[in-house]
Amino acid sequence: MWLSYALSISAVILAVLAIWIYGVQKKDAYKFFYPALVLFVLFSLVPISYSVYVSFTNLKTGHLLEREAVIELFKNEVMVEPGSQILNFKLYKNQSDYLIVVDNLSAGFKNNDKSATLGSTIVLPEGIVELSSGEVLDFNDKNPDFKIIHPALGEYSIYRSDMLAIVHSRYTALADGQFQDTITGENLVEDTDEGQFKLAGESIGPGYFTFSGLKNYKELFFDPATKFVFMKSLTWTFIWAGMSVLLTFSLGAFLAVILNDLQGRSKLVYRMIFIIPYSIPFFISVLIFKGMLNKDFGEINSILSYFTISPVPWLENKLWARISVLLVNLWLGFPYMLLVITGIIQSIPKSIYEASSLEGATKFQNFRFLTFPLVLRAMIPLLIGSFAFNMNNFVGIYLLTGGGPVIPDVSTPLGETDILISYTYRLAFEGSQGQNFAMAAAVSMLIFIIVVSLTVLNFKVSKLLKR
Amino acid sequence: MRQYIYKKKNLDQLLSHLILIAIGIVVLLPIVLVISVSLSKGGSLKTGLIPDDLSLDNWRYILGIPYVNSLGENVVSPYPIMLWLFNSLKVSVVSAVLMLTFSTTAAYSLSRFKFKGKESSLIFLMVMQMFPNMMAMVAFYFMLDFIGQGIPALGIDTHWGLILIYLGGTPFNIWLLKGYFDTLPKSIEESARMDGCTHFQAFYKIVLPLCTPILSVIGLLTFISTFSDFILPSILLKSQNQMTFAVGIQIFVSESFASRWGQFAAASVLGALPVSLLFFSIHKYIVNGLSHGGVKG
Repeated sequence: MWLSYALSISAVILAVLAIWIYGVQKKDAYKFFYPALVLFVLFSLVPISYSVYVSFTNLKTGHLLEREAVIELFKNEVMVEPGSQILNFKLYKNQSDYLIVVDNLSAGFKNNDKSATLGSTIVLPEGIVELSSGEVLDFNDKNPDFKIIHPALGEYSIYRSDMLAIVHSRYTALADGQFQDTITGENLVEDTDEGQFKLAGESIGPGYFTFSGLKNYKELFFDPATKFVFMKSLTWTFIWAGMSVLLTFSLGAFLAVILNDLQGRSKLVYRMIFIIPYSIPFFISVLIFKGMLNKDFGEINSILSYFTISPVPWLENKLWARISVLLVNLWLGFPYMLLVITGIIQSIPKSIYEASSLEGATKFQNFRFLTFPLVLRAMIPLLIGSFAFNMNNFVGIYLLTGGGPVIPDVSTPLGETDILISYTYRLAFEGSQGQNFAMAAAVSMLIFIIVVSLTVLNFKVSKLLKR
Repeated sequence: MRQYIYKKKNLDQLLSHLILIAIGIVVLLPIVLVISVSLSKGGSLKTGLIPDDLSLDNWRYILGIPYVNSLGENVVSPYPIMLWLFNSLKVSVVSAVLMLTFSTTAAYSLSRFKFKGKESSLIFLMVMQMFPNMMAMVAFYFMLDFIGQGIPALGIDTHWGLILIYLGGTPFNIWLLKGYFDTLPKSIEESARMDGCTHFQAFYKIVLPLCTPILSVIGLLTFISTFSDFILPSILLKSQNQMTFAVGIQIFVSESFASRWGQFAAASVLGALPVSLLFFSIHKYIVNGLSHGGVKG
């Protein structure tokens, strides 16, 4: 509902704007800007606002329908008359002529007939075809009130694709909008907070989709079981992003310095080789590593077995899995740091080294007191950016370990290496306990808040450095 | 003394080379290994880096060419691996071209004109380009589902639906392009305007041709990042024939790493090579862009 409002309101506003911009006003600026505006209103702004909205609802498996649809289901819910007889049937069709056969009785009828009265057996006409169960159900959907009148047993409806039964409504709609259960005579109780109809405390039928306020956020921070899972994943996300930045930066800086001091053209060859991992799409490299790290047939364990080292459970053990994702991410990520740091080192004026060598500084002192502080200063905004990137580095985690190894006995599925974004993915699209879109949206909002804070921090730091 | 310094310098250089070679081996090992696995018959490395059972069977498999395997059976791949690659190329090329088209004029407008709301648009863009689109994955899913009810060609499990979602990523491109336009002197168009060109003509005939190099670089970057995306196509594409290379190949190899390792290796080489070559063709520009904080990493 909300989505259709958001999309149609945006579309109307954009259309009006288009007329104004291209028809009425004269400024070229708006004319140039408009096409991109359409895109990011429809495909950035609307989805982001919808995510915010979903995070305040209960949208998940069992609560995917609108309230009206659930009520419609109650209206249509039927039950077999107790003690009545259920009959098997077959339905045949020849163009617009139907023929229904029940035991030794049959009846012919036309497309728009409301009922058919069963009579004596007739021989099946030539060219008539039996309908499949799917076609029978289609027929029933189009003619929900169609009755088959049995001369001895009464008025039958299609109950299953091959069964007829005498049915009546399970729930009676009362004047005040409530529903009464015809068996117990009790009224259904509507729990509007949960979006669920209940009878004596038991949920009846599917729930519906409703606004639930801060419930998802409260659950993440205060429900012990959910909080445990969320905090575990949050902690690991920070460790993972922090360690990834630290490792890639260290190796990148180390290599950049060594390469910079190298004489001759060989440094170009090395640099070319070191960039290769960065040029390959990450998903391919990560999958390659997944194969190589396989405990039983992976190449890494077979290389280790040459040195009589017993197989390492790279992806199966909690600690090893964490080490593996970090090492693979080091392989993927250090070229970026190498490239950037090389650029920074090359932009440092040579004269400052000349000055320091006059003072008798050693190579290490040069690095420690000149190169490193200058590089770090220039790198801080990029390191924050890299931290934010790795926080959401779904491919680096999910394709290698699938988030696993799985932690046993937790309320929502979570693995030892799951970062927040892969946890979100699991919640929404991989649910062994159903799909919880609302909770996924809430988690992604929290990720968004972290990313925005990092961005703001980045700005502040960049401005500070420029001064 | 002088000789000593010379020796020490040589020793330093030697040590550096040793370290660099060691790391170089670690960097190249997976790549060499995958290439050689892809060319071996068994699909595993029992014999060393140069397979002694050289065979093109893995390549035939992924290219969909029938061959006879070691058991004497005729094998044709039941998986549309080449189709996945084609799907990826299609989605990435179309996204890159459309995004360029839409972001160029906007970036130009932000760089050249003064208008009401420019400052707030810039701040807005800045925040938007920081928002990784995968965070809205739930919303994208329902949005395409909803659009698909009205326009089936743009729904879940369609390439155009996926492309639409990628188009939401224009803020990042606008940001990059604006930075470039800012470096172009205004005098370029002003002379054209003097000759009676409209603003649009000046943009189209004078500015755009000047920008072809940077436009193609940004286009290629978009292509690479779209090609490499995993999470959105894995959510939005369902049927096997619609999948992109990233999703298809992930499912293909995850079902059985042991028996499909060789075929996966061949597919990896095929998928990585064009992207890698593209990357090296523009890597100088990327290095410049990197220090401005864009691009993965």
